[in-house]
Amino acid sequence: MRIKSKLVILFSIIIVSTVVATSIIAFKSLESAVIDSQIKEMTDQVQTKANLINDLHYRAAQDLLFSVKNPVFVRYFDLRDTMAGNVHDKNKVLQFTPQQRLVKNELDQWIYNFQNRFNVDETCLVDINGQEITRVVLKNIALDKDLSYSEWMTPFFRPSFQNDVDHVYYQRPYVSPDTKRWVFAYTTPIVRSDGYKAAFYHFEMPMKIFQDLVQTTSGRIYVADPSGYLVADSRYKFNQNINSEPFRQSPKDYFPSINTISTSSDFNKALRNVQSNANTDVGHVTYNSNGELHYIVFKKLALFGWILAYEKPYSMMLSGNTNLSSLAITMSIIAGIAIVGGLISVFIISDRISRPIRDFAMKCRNQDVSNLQIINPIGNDKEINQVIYAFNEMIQRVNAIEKQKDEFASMVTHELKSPLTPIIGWCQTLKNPKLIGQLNSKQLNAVDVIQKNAKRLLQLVGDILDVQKLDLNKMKFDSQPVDVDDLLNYMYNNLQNVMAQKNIKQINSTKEQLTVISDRNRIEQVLNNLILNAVDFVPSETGKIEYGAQSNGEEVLFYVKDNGTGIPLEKQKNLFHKFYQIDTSVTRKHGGSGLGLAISKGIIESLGGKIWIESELGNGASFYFTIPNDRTNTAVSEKVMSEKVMDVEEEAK
Amino acid sequence: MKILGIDDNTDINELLDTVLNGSGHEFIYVKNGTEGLKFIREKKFDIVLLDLAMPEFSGFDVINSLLKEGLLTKQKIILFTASSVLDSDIEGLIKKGIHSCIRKPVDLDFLLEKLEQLQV
Repeated sequence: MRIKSKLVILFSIIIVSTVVATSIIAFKSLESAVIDSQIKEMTDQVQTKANLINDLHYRAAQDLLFSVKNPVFVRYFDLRDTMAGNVHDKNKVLQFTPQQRLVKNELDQWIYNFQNRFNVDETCLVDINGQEITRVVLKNIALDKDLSYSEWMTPFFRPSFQNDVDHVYYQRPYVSPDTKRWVFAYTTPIVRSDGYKAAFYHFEMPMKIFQDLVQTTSGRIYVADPSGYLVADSRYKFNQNINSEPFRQSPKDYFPSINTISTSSDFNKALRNVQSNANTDVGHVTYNSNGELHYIVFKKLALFGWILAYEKPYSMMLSGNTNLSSLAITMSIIAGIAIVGGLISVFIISDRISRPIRDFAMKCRNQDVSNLQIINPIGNDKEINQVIYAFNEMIQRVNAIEKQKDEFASMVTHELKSPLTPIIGWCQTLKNPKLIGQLNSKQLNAVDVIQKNAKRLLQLVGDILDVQKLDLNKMKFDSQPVDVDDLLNYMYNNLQNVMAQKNIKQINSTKEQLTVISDRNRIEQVLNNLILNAVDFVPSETGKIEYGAQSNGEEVLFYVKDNGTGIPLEKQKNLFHKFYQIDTSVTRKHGGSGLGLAISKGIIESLGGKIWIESELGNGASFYFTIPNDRTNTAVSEKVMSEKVMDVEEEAK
Repeated sequence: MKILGIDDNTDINELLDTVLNGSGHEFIYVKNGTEGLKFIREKKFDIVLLDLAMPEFSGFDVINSLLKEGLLTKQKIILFTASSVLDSDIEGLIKKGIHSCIRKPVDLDFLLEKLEQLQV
């Protein structure tokens, strides 16, 4: 994996996780702010609703007290007739005396007018015996025969008499038998001039007024009774008029259970906490239901231990919040820009980080193997330059070793050639009768063997050094005009002795005057190699070697053809390899080291040409090589070519 | 021709002594550069065959000394070396006043032929 890819992945993870984390933190903090503000809003609502509900009862009480302030109430009970006791007929219908009737009419009128002004369903006056003196139901004044004599059965009868003057007794909701509606009842006692509590005054207000107060447009507002039912609920439509038998209507039949809100223990626990708390301040709790968090703002109401609650699920707390949704959009856009921008910078930075490494690799690859150069620092990254520094130290060491090797090679050349000089020289001298006398034929033969082997050793040393130079690309070449005809004639003359020894024929079949700009010595070396090889492979007497050169466009084609045994196809491809010999049994008369063809190939390719063989077994062998007309041109084009190859390689990676 | 050989290799010196004196030349040799330099200063030779790689005072030292003394162009000096001195280096030396270079080992016929040419 590339360093660049690793960096890209690493930085991408950092950027994406940072952006995501930032977004989540921003979202969470705004979310909690939104929820806080929602709870505050709900608290305000609960406070307002609670005030309205508490006010409703308070105002009703004030209205009752205002109404009962009329002295006509006391006047009725101060009447001698009233004090004398109630008189009924046989049908238990209360009989009013004329005096009582007068005051009762006044009372009826007052109560009727009062009902006109206030939202009251039913008003009545009940004496200490449970006898109704007057009753007005929905602005209808009851007839005498309809007045009840058994009001002591009502749940608020006894508490009403235990109340003090100017105090109101609040009765929990019940179904009014007259209006057939759920109502609140408010009662206050009436005291005669002598201080005797002779009666109580009472009115009923429909519960609907109270239930209508909990309406809301969002979430759910309800009022819970300690007995476990909801006396008001914004989600529940209460039926105002009761058609069944009123007294049998129990709260449990009419009001929905608290369990319709939630059955979770969380919720019940929260509710109990609020109920048991004497504090009437607003508070809030949360509970889990159906996998969603619900928020409830509570307040204990003034009457009946009722609890007013405002509840919203989490989704509703956030829904419609423009801040949050716009934040989500803004965050998405910012996150998108941050990620895109981040990733672009990541690519740029990663490239910057990895570029020096690639530049370094490129510089290493472009090094001339035969001349390693120290690499200059790249960029200003310390680590890379430490690598380059270490690399340079290595190059210096390699160069030092190279130098030692060159010196060693030079020393070896000298040391090997030096003893050969007197050996070959003395052999030659021994064979010259004029210098140190005539040898006999056996002695001459011995000197010949010594001389031949010394020459072969010399050739071998030369070949090995050539191979080494070619391998290290250290062979130097001339670029001088070479007269090809002159070269071939010179060779023809030099080879005459060798040819004569084996009694074979050599033909220089060159027909043109040719000149190349190249290295004469090296071309000669290659031709010599090929021709002397051929000499080894052609038969004595009938052997024939033809060589020469001909123009071939931008280059000159050289050839060496023989009529020897030829070289089988499968052996041809290895022919130019080092130390390869076609047949080890062939006597190598010309000091063949097995390196000749490898050296020839190296030289020809270095001069910008090609070398190859065409041969059939039994039909002789033909060696060909080309030399560019002008080596200096080729050298340039070679360099361009190698650069192109390098580019292609780089592209491929 | 009067020929001076400067070479630390006695075998070569004796070979040349045999061959050159046997071929009608007047050849003497010295075995180190210092001595050779002394000879060149004192006498005039037709040819000096100078080996390059010699201990203590090398052929290069001889050339440098002659160059300093202005004697290099006045004396035909042929390098006679087995070292793998680059052609370019030899060309540099030739420009400075060296006559030519013969690489060891040499074909004695070739050497004699070359000396004949110089005599003419």
